[in-house]
Amino acid sequence: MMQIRRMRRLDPWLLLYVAVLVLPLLFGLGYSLAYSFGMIGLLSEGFSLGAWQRLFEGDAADAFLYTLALTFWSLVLALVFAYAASWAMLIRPGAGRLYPWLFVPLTLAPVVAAFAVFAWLNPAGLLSRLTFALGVHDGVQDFPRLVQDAGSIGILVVHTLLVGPVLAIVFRQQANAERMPALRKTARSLGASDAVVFFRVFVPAIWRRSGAFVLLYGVYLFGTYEVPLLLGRSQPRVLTVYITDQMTRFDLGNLPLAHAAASAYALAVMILLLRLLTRWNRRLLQP
Amino acid sequence: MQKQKKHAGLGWSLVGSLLVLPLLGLVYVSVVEQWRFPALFGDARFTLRHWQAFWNNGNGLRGGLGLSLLLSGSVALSAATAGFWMAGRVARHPQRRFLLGLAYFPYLVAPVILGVLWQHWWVRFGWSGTFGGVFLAQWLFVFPYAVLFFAGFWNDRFRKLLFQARSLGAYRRKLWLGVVLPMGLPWLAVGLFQCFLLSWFEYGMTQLIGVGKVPTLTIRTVLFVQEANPHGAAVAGLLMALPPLVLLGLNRSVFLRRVGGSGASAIPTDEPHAGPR
Amino acid sequence: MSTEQTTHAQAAPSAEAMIRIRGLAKGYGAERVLEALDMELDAGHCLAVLGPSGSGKTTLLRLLAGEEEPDTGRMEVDGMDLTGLSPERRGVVMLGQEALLFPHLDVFENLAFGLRMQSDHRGPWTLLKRWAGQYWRQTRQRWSGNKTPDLYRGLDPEESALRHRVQRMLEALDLLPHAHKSPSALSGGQRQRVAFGRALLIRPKVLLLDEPFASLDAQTRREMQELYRKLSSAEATTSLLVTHDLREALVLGDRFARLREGRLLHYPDRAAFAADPYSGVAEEQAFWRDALSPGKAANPAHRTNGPAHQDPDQSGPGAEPS
Repeated sequence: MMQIRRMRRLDPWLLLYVAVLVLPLLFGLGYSLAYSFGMIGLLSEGFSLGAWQRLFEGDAADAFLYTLALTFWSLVLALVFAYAASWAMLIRPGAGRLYPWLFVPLTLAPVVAAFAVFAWLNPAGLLSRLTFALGVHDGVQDFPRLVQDAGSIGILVVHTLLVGPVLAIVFRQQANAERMPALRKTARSLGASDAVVFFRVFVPAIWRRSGAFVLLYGVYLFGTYEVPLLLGRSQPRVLTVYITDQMTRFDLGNLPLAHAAASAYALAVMILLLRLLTRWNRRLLQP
Repeated sequence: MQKQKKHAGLGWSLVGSLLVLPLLGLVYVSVVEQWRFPALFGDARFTLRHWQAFWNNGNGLRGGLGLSLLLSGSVALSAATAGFWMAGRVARHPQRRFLLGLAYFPYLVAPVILGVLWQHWWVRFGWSGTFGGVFLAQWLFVFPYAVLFFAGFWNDRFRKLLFQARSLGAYRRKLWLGVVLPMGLPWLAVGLFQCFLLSWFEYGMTQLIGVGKVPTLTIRTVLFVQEANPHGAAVAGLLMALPPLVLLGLNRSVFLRRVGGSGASAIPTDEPHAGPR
Repeated sequence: MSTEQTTHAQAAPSAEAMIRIRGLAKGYGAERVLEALDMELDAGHCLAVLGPSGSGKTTLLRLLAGEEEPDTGRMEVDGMDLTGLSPERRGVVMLGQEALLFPHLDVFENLAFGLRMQSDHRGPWTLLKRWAGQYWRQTRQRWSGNKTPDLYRGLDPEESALRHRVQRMLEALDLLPHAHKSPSALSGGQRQRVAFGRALLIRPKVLLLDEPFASLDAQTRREMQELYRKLSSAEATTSLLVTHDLREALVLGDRFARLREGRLLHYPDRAAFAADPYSGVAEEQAFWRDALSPGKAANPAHRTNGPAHQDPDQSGPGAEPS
């Protein structure tokens, strides 16, 4: 009898694929880590944990906490928008008309969306002029600060504008796939109010199908750059802006700190992603 | 009753049209000058001067548009075709989940941070500040996206269909010409467009790797903002929104993951993109 | 059924065997699915293979089709060793519950697909033209409402002959009015008919049937079984049928076997198959006799315990072919 078990040959193209995905990250991360530990660099004085210690104090720690908070609230607002819009499209007659409009913000680059919102919300912007013309306030000094403000309102508006509609589109598709109109009818016939259907059926059913997708957006928002760059204040800054600030300063002493922060960010995203990929394996990795 | 429904629809259209306000704001700012507070309509002067400046390339915008089109077009074309083909190889491999999982890493780390991590190597190899350098850096995160996107096409059902075609006698070339390409063309079109947008919208990495020497439209927009020239920024922003708006007008399915009628999608619903950005 | 009968049938070598398998083994990790499986099937016959779920029936078909590779063993089709042979060179077509029609082609082109793959040596331009032409025909048909367009106008002889063959198949399948419909516009039974027609048109050496009618309703299933029997006997097709459906096995099969513990146990003839309690024939007869006897209502629960659904090891000592 002939033995026909064969060794699976290594596909050179797949090896190249892995190399293209992994090597640039490894080399980049390796260099940054080495720099952050003082092992390389112009002012290198040998191995040191100084840069990493500075990560946990002052500006760097503020930037990290601020980024986390901004990510959280952006995601919450986008989710509220998306759930409200998709639910309205499900239960309100005529609300389906909302659907085509949801695609419009997808045509905006983050830079453009940030600038457009700036044009609307800055104290001398369109909204301020419109409300001034209507006699709502007495001038620039009376208009509340909505961009480059302490509450990061401008950033949150842009993030909601960019992410909310995308999630709303996804949620509507998922609601149709879950046959939500029929489910709602069934739940109503069993005595549930619309509020109960929303919280007990709609929200969990959509989350089960789209949770992975939403969390990926969380990862994206954690790395947002252009929007806080244009609409954020100089203090506190998001992590990405903080890192590029440190990188481009004339003071070379800041470079190890910038590299430590960049490595920490990249490692945090990778660990988070690893967790997401194992938890939502079926949704994310099923070709 | 019918009338009431119509009115409700109109109301929701009005709510939806709020999402167009940012774009309308840009259009307005791009056609006014001497825009001192509180000038709005009566006191502001309307002009096409900013658009003429673009047309005459007086502010470098036309060059920026050409550069962006060339950069994003070439990144999208190469990454989407390579991604389409590679996704097929990945999908056929027993370890496809692992291989696909790898693609999320370069794609989801913020491009500006990738720029920080790669800057040293790009400088070292002399790629920093060059078109090729920016192209390569963008390609390295657009390509993984393309693989993730096209993995939806090479799903289980499509692989079964391919096997059926093979057992009916289709060998490699005919398989591609007779089944893969005709069925994949709508996917390729959408994937190409989405890869184009990824590169078209990118700012942070282009700025870091290009060190200002590769002035794409996004770079120009931020420069205008920093120069306190809102009119130039508005023109640049509208130019950036133009290609996606045209495609949205033609067919909004280009923003969705699944292509109608292709019959090959693992995910039973339409999802915009394989992930964010 | 006796042990001798079974082993005798297994050992009998045939000079004109279309399928010949020796010592076939396949496992997934620690789990062994097929273990030293031997089999022979003569040309023009249909072997119906029964076995509980997970016994390796589908694995056997996938190995023959080339979808997977065996761990050890040798498979031959029409005297040709299948080792390392790509699926397109085997002359083996597998049909499953899902029709797997090409969504970008209409019914006619789906049927013609295999013939084109065999005959067409022209370049991409021809394929592109044909593809565009097909869309044009479909669009024109949609505009004109014409159900039976002229298929032969201005064609070269090779293409004309191909179209004649496809049209004859369309008639045999009773699908002529649907020739230019998209597969998505067809019912489940119609789709399955197209899949059969497509496979039979290329006259494969072996047709592998993996419960092909399981997803159809009872009436359509019977019609399909009849149709398949008619078409396959006209073409003298050699086929291997895997099924849970006793009736299907009896209607389509003329050879019978059972997969157990990774090995194939052959019945020498229909009578031996019917006599084996495992086959469920006796049980079925008893059910109908019982159900139709005057004054006695049929108890559906009685059927669910039928031997066809039972673990073979629990069928009783007399039922076991070794």
